[in-house]
Amino acid sequence: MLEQPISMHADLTLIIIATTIAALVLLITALLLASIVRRVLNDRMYGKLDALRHEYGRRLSQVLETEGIAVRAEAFQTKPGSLAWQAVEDVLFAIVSEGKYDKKGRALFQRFGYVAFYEEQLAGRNVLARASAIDKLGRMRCTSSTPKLLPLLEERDPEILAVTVRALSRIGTKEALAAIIGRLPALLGGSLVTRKAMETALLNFGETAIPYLIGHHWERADPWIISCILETLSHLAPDARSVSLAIEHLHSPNSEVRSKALKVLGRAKANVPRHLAELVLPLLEDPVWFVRLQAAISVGTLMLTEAAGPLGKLLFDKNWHVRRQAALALTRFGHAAIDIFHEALLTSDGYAKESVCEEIEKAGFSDWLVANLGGSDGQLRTKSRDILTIMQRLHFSTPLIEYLANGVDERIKQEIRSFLTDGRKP
Amino acid sequence: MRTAIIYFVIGFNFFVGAYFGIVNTVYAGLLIISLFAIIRHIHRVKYSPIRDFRASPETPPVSILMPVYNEEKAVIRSIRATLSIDYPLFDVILINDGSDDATLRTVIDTFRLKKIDRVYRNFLKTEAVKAFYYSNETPNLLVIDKVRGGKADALNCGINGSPSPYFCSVDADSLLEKDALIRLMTPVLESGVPVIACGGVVRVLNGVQLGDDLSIRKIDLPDKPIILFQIVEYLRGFLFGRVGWDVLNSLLIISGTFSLFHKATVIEAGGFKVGNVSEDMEMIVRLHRHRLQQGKPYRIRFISDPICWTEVPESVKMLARQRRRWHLGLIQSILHNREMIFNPRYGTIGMLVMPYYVFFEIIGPFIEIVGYIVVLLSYALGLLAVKFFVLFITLAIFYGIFLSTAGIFLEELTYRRYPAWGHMFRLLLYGVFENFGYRQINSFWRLQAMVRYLTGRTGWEYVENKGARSGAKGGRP
Repeated sequence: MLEQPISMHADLTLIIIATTIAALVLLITALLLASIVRRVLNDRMYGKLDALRHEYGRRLSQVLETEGIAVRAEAFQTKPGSLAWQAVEDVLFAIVSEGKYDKKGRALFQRFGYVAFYEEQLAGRNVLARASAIDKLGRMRCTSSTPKLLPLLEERDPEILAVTVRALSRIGTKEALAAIIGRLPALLGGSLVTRKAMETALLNFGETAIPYLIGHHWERADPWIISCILETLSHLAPDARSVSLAIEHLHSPNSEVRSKALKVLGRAKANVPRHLAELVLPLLEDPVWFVRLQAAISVGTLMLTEAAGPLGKLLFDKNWHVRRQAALALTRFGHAAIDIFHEALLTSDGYAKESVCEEIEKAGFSDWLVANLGGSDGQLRTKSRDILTIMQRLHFSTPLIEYLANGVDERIKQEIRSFLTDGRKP
Repeated sequence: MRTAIIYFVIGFNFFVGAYFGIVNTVYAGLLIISLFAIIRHIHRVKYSPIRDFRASPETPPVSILMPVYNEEKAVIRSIRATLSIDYPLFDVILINDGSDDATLRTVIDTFRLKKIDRVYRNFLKTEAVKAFYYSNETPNLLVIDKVRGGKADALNCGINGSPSPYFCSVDADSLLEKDALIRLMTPVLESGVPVIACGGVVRVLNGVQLGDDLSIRKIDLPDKPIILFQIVEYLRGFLFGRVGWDVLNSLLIISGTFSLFHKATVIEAGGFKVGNVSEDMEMIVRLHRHRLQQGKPYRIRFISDPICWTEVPESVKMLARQRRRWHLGLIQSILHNREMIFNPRYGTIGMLVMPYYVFFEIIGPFIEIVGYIVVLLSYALGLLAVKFFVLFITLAIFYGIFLSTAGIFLEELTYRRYPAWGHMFRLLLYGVFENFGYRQINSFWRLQAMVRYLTGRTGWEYVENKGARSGAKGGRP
């Protein structure tokens, strides 16, 4: 920007700046034109596509109503990659997702050549195009594509592997399931597919997955594979075989496996063995906090009232998640828990007492205690009163205040007034 | 003396030339990287597992933390919109940070909340909590009423009260698109390396019409130029700035308006820093520092398709406050972690990103303003070559226009949220206009922030909007 004698150097600088400006002007113009052209082309393309979707949608609905899949394929034969091709594909996907003509729609993908086209794309080199083809085959749920997709489980590209696992899980064939389970150690071991993605995919297979998940020989498998299997089983319908696998791993040296095994048992209400309490109760004293946590959840869900005592000890656990969960589990036991709560609230552990009070309130156990104040069982009334008194001393008095404001039984109100001393007014 | 000034002016001119060259090379690099990354991302989105994750019990629960301060006009809309998102398991924790208007009463009355007693653990020290409000009718909404302590303090309080392993911070004057959270969670679920934070795109809500279900009904552009300038800025900032840094795993900013964090990592790192006026950026810098010190692998991601709409300031006064606060926050965040600068222990962040922010983002406005003064000085000293000056200014302006046009082009290429032809042309036009006055006044506000930092005036400047009022308007683009 400074005055300089006319020199070659100054001229060169000027030329460079001017050239850069010219290049920028060109780039701006190019971007502007590209935006305009793209918008024009997109508007035109999507306009046509919408019209085609509408047209093919109408025609396909008609023929599915009347002819089923005996539809003349030539009437819907379109050039791969064309707008009509895209429109028919979109319409078929919509038909399949609606559910009414699910099977017919899927069969039409095959008849109209979509399956063959995307299967050919699997051999390509472009990762994005291949992944997209795999995904579409999965969404078409064409079982005949399974053998074409299975070799892709041997690939090393995480993107291709993740999409393949998902596509196979949507197709849901037994071969696919067996292949995925067989490759599980390699897929998870090499971090090629994340555990969450794998568990989500395995769940897509539904209950058909259970025998495969259980039947595989996991004896020598890594613990995190077993915990993945158990986690998946815990979300599937409770099954006697899942329960026995869980029991088998209940005392695994790996804490995560123990915790997942407890999770399976907690959800398998109908198929639990009689001696379950004997198996589960020791885990309430497990050295690892999240195993104790899961044990508390499971005994609560299973209503194992024999666990009331050990759960009472967990009210003083060093981990607050465990304390809260133990309190919540106890609230489910109703009458059986009242002595435990009473005892717990008489101790000096402030943290434990607060956890207990919160769960008593959240679970609605406090409403039951308040109702007991007007009951005829003298012992129960005294215990309930004691618990509520301690709760209000710890500033967990909202249920009492609420009852005074909205309750109907004068006897209970009178009782509450007699011990509500923390200065809080309704 | 005159000779000294002449030498200074000459030296400064060479310095500015080099400075300008480096900054714009970085921008060009980011633009190219972003272009490829965005094209790849929009292809990948077509086969992303969002639908599977949306229905999966394996998708981790998330607490959506919404700190509010005097937001009575916008708070109900935001809570309703947030409660209606598509996500398997989430809870909304509204932290009323000592509002002195009717925010709390409005929320209690609207959602028929009851005061409850709750155990509250101060993992992160915060101002005192006054009460908790909850209702069985809306079991995934919890309101925490606390003593005023600022946004960072409110977020820390929300973290203390959160039962989920992840939390997402959202401003009360913002609206999440229905699938925004599940999209934001997808990289966390898909990545082999732990993703400890993830940010999404923030768009300008002003001018947008909402439907009865609080979804976006019609996107329109407002008439006010000040908002249009900001829309262009947001497109540029989110679509090529952040995407580019994300590819290099070097993000230092994800917008606090809409970002997801791994709770345990944030607690380990000490939570949000109270007293920093840009708590989102400071948190990210600290997360980098914490993880790099531990030598644990991690990623901090930015994803360009989860969208959150937020109100931006509509007056110059409020915009000035916001920009001063942002720049002050940037300075505080970088300088509080200054031992990372040029420290090889912190890898690319220490050796490249932090120095870049110091030399180009923090002191950039100072260089720009000094540059204008030096031009005047050169003219007074008879040193100004008008031809060079005009060409250089033209170059700078065209480069600015190029970057804005590129931002709008990326929007056209990808999400096209501004569908009318008129929208595109108006945004392009404002991409040109912003180089004449808007950019310069922004530099001035940022320079003011530097002066405030140096003079110790680092208080939070509140931004008041049409729909609401709070400390944090709009996500930094």
